[in-house]
Amino acid sequence: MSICPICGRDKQDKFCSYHQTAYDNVKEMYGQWKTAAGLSWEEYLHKISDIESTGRWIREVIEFIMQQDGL
Amino acid sequence: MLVTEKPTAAKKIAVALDDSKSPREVKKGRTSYFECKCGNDDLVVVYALGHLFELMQTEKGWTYPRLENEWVPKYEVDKKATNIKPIIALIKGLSKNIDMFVVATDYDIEGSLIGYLTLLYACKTDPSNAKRMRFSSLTESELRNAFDNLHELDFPLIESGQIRHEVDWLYGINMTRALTLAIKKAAGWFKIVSTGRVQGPALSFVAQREKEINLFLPLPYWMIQVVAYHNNKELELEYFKRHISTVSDGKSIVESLSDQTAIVDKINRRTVTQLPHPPFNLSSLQSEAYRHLGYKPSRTLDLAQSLYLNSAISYPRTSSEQLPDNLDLKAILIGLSSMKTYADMAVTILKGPLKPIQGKKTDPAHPAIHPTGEKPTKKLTPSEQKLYDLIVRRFFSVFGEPLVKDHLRADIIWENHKLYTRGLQIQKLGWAEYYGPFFKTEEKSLPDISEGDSIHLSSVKAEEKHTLPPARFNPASLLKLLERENLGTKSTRSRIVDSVRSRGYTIADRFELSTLGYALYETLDHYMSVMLSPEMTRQLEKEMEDIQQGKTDRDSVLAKARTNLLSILKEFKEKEEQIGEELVKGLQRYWKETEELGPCPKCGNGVLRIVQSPKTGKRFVGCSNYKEGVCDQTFPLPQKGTVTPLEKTCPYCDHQMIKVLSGRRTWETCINWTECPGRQEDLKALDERRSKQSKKDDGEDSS
Repeated sequence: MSICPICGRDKQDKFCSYHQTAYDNVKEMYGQWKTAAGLSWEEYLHKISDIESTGRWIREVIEFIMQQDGL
Repeated sequence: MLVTEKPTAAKKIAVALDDSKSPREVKKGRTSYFECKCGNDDLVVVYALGHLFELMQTEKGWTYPRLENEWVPKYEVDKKATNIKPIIALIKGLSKNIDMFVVATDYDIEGSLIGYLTLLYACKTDPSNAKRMRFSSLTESELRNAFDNLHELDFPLIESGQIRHEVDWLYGINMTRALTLAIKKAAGWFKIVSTGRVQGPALSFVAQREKEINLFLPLPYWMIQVVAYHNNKELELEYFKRHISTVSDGKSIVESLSDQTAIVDKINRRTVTQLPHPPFNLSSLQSEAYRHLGYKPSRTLDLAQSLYLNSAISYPRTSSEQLPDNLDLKAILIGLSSMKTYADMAVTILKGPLKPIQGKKTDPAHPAIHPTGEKPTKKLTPSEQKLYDLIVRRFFSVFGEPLVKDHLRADIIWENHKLYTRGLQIQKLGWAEYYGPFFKTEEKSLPDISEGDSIHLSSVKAEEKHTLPPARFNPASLLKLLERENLGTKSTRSRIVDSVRSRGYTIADRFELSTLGYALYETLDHYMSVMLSPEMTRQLEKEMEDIQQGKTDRDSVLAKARTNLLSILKEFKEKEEQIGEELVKGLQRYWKETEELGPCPKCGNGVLRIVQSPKTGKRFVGCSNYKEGVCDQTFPLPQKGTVTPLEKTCPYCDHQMIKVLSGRRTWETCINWTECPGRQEDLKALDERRSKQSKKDDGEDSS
């Protein structure tokens, strides 16, 4: 399977280049959110997907992660 | 013979030059010309309709590369341009007994080229013997003066215009065909996917911004909000640090300040003097008209062109922000003083020294946009009137005194915490008085407090906020970026901005990249990034400017552009298969996203799709099983705006939800909106709006 499980574009690693960057961003920024707001990983994912200004690809990646992890 | 650009301009010029001010209009079928007497000269004034001649491919075949072209009558390229044929025939016929030709088109690149091509191909005369009228407004005095002081034709300007058309033709035709044929080879579909040397970079700017927005992950911060009381009056105070980076710091500040009594430490006053804004050039006019009136840049240009043809304002396609010394400012102001709305302001300004503020940008051909002072010959439409008001008020404001305002700030302290309350007072309106409705500032007085007063901090909260993504482009900001990047010209940029949208690469006016826009951008970015690069276009722009300044010639620039294009097309050909496949995948995604609305609720196995009636041209939602005669499910759709399916169903009737983007307005509804029990109030409101609008339209028509 060589297509992105989120959008169907060609896969680079886990996802297409856009969703891969979004996925990396989600992981990387958790540290800053944890320090600032003291949230757990799960709380962080819920929080980000609730904020209106969150980017479309970030939101799609979060939805994917939450589905995968059964959150 | 005077060759003008448009019928309105021809009439203006004929009236201005005719000794009796009543030239004879000679009708010839669907077209006409003017005859007038000017001293000992018998003048014939003819008009074009913009460009009468266009470039056409001379080699056969809808393929690429195609590098050879020639100028032909426009109706040979555009079959709809049937009105051009009698005009060319008329000019050709009248040119036989002419002893001098004068180009009286707009004095800019396009106008000069229109005049040159008309002389060459319609009048069949040698353009080097012709003369040129140079003017910046269609007022009688300026036109007379231009006719009395004729110039030679500006050949570097003409060559620069000619090559701009040739290069745009070469790149536009060949790149568009390359993309379209790549799709045809990959999937057998004929879907025109266009690009061009400026459109490619413009798409790239929009796509890069879209990427930033889609990848945006907000970060939290906290803002301290304090409500305080002084002499029983409520005050809102701001904390000296606007962003608190952690929730624990926020909590600790809240705990420290709550229910404390702070002291007014200092009241600061900072006086700021603001000079008037410079006179308008096209770009600043387009930007200000978008900001205050909501007009797209292309609309502003059209309205400004109409005001120019109505003698109300000077030539709008200018870069200049300066009003030159030889401009009769007094006469303009006297003219404006005869108009009821502007009389008082004009009279006040006339009492002063008439020294306008000047901007930095210049234009060798035209001054900054200004009113002519003449009353428009035709009644202005409401939109023209609003733009005219903006131009007149900006013109007045450049004579105004500086605006003086005081920024006030009271510093309130509690231990090591500082709080502010701010005010703004206008001391002197100066130029802003003339700018009137287009000057916006909110005056706010400082609360009645003095240094040493006690302030009770009754409510202190730390409110969670989040950082925001960069804003999407709007037509004005994209146009500004193109200007800053030196891509396109002041006359072409607004059209390019419009084309990014009209080709379906963005959705509505918000410049949100569509799936088709993504498909094209991603494919080109991956395989042919040179087609998106501003570098190549910027270099070409520079070379075209160099032709205008006599630093290089048309042949060498054209040869270079062709070599460059051929190498791009060669590379494209090598990757044609992959490019075609990528574009096809993107198009499939685009159609799925924009046209499919989920499973049919009636038959269950069909797919609801947005379709257009071949009979009426109206769009509606229909089931994919209709053609097989299995299902006749349909839903009506709003006919205006872009419809995008949403990934949710209606809470009232469970039908698919859609988003409609029309102009600057966005709303969500369901496909069952006409029957949905939860949307009857919306329908009623819509009917009322329509009836109100139709009454308004009837009123406008009868007036």
